[in-house]
Amino acid sequence: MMRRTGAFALVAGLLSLSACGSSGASGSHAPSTLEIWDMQQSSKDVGAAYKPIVEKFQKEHPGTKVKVTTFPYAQYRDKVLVAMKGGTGPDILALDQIWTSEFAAGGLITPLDDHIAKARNVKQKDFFTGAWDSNVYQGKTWGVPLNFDVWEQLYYNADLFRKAGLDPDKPPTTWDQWVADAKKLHHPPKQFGIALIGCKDEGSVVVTDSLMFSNSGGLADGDKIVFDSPENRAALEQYRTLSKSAPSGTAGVCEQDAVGQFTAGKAAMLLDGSWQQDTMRKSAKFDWRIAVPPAPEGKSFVGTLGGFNMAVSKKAGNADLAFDFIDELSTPENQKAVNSLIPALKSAGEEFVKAERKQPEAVLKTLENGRPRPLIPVYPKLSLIQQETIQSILGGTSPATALRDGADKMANALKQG
Amino acid sequence: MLLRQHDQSMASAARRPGAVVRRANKGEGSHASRHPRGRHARKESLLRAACLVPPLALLAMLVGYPLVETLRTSVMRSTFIQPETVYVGLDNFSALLSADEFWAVVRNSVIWTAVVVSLQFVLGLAAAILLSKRFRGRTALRAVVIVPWVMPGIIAGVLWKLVYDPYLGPLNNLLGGIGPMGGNPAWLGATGTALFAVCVAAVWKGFPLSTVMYMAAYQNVPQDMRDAARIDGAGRWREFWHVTLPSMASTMRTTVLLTMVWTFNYFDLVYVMTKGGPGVSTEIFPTVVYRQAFSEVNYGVAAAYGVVSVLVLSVFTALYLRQLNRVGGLR
Amino acid sequence: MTSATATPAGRGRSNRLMSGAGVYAAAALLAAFVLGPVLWMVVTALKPRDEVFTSPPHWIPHHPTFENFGAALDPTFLRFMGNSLLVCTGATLLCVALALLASYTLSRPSGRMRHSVLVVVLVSQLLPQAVLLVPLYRSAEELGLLNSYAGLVVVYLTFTLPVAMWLLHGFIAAIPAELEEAAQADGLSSFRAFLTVIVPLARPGIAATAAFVFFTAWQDFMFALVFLTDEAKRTLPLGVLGYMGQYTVQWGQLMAASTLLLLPIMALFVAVQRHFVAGLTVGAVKG
Repeated sequence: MMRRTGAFALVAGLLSLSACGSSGASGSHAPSTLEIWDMQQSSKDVGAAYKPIVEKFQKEHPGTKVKVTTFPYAQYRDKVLVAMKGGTGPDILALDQIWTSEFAAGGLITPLDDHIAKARNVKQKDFFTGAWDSNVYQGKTWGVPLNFDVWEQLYYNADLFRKAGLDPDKPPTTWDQWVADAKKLHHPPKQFGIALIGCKDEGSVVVTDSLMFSNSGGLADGDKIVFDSPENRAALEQYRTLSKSAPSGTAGVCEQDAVGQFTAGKAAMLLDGSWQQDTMRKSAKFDWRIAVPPAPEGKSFVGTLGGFNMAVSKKAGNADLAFDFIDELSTPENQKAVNSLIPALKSAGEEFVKAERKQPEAVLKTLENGRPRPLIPVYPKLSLIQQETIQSILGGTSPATALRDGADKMANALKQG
Repeated sequence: MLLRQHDQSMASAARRPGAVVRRANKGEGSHASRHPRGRHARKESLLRAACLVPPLALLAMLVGYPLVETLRTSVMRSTFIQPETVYVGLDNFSALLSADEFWAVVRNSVIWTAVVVSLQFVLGLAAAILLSKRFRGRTALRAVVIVPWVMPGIIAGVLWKLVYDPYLGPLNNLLGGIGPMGGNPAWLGATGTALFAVCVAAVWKGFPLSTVMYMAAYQNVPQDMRDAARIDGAGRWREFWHVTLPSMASTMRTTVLLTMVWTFNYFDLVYVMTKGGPGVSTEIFPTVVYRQAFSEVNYGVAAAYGVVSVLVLSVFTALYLRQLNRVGGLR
Repeated sequence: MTSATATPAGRGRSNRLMSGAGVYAAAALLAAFVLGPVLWMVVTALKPRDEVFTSPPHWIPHHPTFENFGAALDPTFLRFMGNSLLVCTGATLLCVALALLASYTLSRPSGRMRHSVLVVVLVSQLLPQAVLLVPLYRSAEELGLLNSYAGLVVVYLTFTLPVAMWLLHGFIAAIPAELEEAAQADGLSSFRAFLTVIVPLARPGIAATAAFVFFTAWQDFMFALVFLTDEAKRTLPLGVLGYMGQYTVQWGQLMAASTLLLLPIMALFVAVQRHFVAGLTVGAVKG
C-alpha cells in the first residue's frame, strides 16, 4: 500500500505553492465599450436582430462600441453568475423576472430610477403592469422589461374532442368540467386526456402556480409564506386529479415532452404558453385550438407571468451610456425586432399578439390578469422547494402533507436568506 | 493531422527498436564513460525530478487552488444575497447532514458509480476483444463504437430522453414489438426505474473509452507469451486467463480507477434527463453541488457538499486501491 | 521480429475466444446498442417538424428532408468547427507533452514517490466541476486568459492532464524495464533511453492517450461556455446548444447539427485508430 502521509505532504506543499494570487479583479472595459448579454430565446439569430439597433446607436454615440453576445438559454444563468461573481461580465444583461430581485439584493445590478426619470422612451405607463412590477424591489426599479408572457393557455385537440362526443366549440371552463372532459378523452395507452408538465424544473412550478393563483392561492403574500393554505391544497388536488388522465410518468415530463405528447395527437389537451402556437402551427397536423384555461366554479383563470428584463451591471463602466442603450431598445419597433416572445411594451406587445397569435383577445386577457411569481430575492430556492413538493405529490404524497412540509422548508429558506 | 505525423515519425523508430538502441549506443558510449557513475546518477535523478515540475505546478494552479478555495468556502457562509463571507464553522456540514435528501444522495451516488463502472468495464473489455477479432465490418464497427463517447453529454442526454419517451420514443415501441413488455413504462418518470435508466445511458456514453484503452492494451499483449502458452497446450480460455488478462492488468486497473472517479462526478446526463428527479431518485453529488452553486447560489453549502463528495469518492478509491494492492498493487 | 499488423494470419486463429457465428452475433448486439440512439438522432434529423413526434414513432421518415442539415450547416457552424479543432489540437499537444514528461519520472520504480504523485494526481480529479468554475474563472481573469483559445487549452488540463498522466503511466509501466536498462547499460543517458526506446514502444498508449484528450476536449461545453464569451470564438458543442431555445427546441436542426458535429471527430478517429493497431510493439522485445 502506498504511503498516504507522503502523498498528503506533497499535496500540502503544492497547495502552498498555489496559494498566492487571487486578489480583486478589475475586468472593466474602456468606458466607451458597451457589452450586452442576452439569451437565445428560440433561435440562434437574436444577435443578428440587434445589428441595426447597434449600428444606429454607434452612429449617434461616436466613439462607442457596442457588442451584443447571446448564449444558449439553459446555460445562460451559469455563465452570468460565474462572470459577474468573478468581477467581470457585461454592462447590460437580460435577466429573468425571477432573478431580478435576487441580482438586486446581491448587489450585482444598479437601480435605474434616476435614469428612468430622464428617459426618452422608457415610461412605466407604456409597459404591461406585470412586466414592469417584476423590476421593483425595495422601492427601487432595477430593470426595464424586454419581453413578457403568461403561463398558460389551454391547447386542445378539437378532432379528439369530437371523437369523444365533446363539443369542440365548448372547451371546459370550470375545474370540474375539466376533469370530466379529461376522463372522457382518456383511453390509455392509445390516447390520454391531458399532457401535464411535472418534471423537476421551473415548468412544473409555473403550471401549478397558475392553478393556485386561479383558486386565490399562491406561494407568498409579500414576504410571508402562505404555501400551506386550503386554496393551494385544492389547487394541487386538482393537479393530482388531472395527472391521472395524463400519460404515466408525469414526474419526468418537461415542457418539451408535454408538447410532443400533444402534437403527436397522443394527449387531447395541453397547458402551455402562447409561444407554443408557433410549434403547433408547424408540428400539429390536426384541428388544434386554444382557450383560457378553466378556473374553479365562480372564479376566473389567473396565469403566471414570466419574461425577461434588461438590467445594468454594477460594474458597468458608464451607466449613463448603458441606460441610453436600454432606452434606445425600448421603442416598439426595436422591442419587436429583438424578441421572438411578446414585447413588454404594451403597444408593441398588442401588435405582436394580434399579428402572431391565434385568438389574440384570449392571450391579451390572460396577460392582463396574470400574477407574477414572488418578487423576493430567495425565490430560486422557494422554486426548488415547490418542485420537490410537486414531485412528492406525483409520487403519491397527499397535497396536505406535501404542502405542510414545503411551507416549513420555504419559511426556513426565507429565514436563512 | 498533427497526431498522425507525430505517430508516423515514431512508427519508423519503433519498427526496429534494436537498431535504435545500437545506433544510439555508438554516439553516447564514450560520453558516459568519461563521467564518474555517481555524479551522473545524481544529475539524472535531478532531471527526473525536474520533469515532474511543470505538470504538477500546473495542476497545483488549476486544481490545488480551487481545492483550497473550496475547503475555505465550506466553513463560510456565502450566498448570493449575502456576498460578505462570514466564518460559520461546521454549520454548512451540519445543515447538509440534516437535509432529508443527504442519504439518498449518498446511496444514489454509490449505486450510480458501482453500476456504471462495472458495466463499462465488462462491456468495454468484451467490445475490445471482439473488435480485435477479424470479421467483416470490423473496421466500420471500430470507427462507430467511439461515437457515444465523443458526443457532448448534453446532447447525449437529450437524445436518450427521446429514446426513453414512453409513447413517442423508439425504445418502448421496439420492446412492445418484440417482447412481452406490457404497458409503456415511463423509464425516467418513475422513481423505481429512473436511476437505472440514466445508468444505461451513462454506460452507453462512457464505455467506448474503456474499449479504446483495452484495445490498445490487448494489442500490447506479447505474442510470444501467447505462443508459449499455446505450445504448452493451454486452451483459449486458459490462455486468456493466464496470459492475456495479466498482461492487460495495468491498463485495466488504471482505466477502472479513472472511470470510477469520472462517473462519480459525471453530471451532464442526469442534469438533462431527470434533473435529479423524480423526487430525489436520481440526485447524485454532482447534481446537488451544481444546484447549490448555480440555482440556490449557496456557495458555502455547495462547497461543503463538494468536500463531502470528495471524501465519499476518496473512500471509494481507497477501497479500490486497497483491493488492488492485494492482487499486486498499482505497478 | 513480429510483423506490424494487429492480426497476422496465424494470430487471429490461435487466440480466438469466440468463433464465426458468435463473433457476428456479438458484433450485431454491440452495433445495435451503440448505434441505436445514433440512428434515432439521424432519423430525427431527416424529419420535417410535424414528423418528429408521432405515435407510433416513424422508424423511417415518411417525408424525409435535408432541410435541417442545410439549415444547420451555416457559416457559423464551420467557424465553430474550426475553433473546436484548433482548441482540441492545442489541448492534446500540451497535455500529452506534459504527461510524457511526468511519465519519464514515474517510469522509474522508485516506490513511494511515484505512488504519492499518482495519488496527488488522482485527488485532483475528485472535485466536482461546479465548485471548480468560480475559482478557476478568477485565476484565468488574473492571468488574462479569459475569452482566449489559449486560456481554454490551459483549463482543459484540469480534466485531461491527470487522466493522461495515469493512462500514460499505465501504458509505460507495461513495458518491461529491462529494455530501458539495456539501453542504459549500452551507455545511453536515461532520458535518451526513455525518448528513443520507451516512448516509441509506448506508441499505441500515447496515441490512445492523445485520442482520449482530444475527444474529451471535443465534447466539453461547460468550460467553453464559462471561459469564452465571443461568439466568434465558440466551440461546436456551444453552437449546437443554440438550437435549444427557452421554450422551443428545433429538434430537426438540433439533431442535424449534432450529427454533423460527430463527422470530423469520426474522421479523425478513423485516421488515428490505425495507429492503435499498427504495431505489436512490445512483441518487438525479442527482435
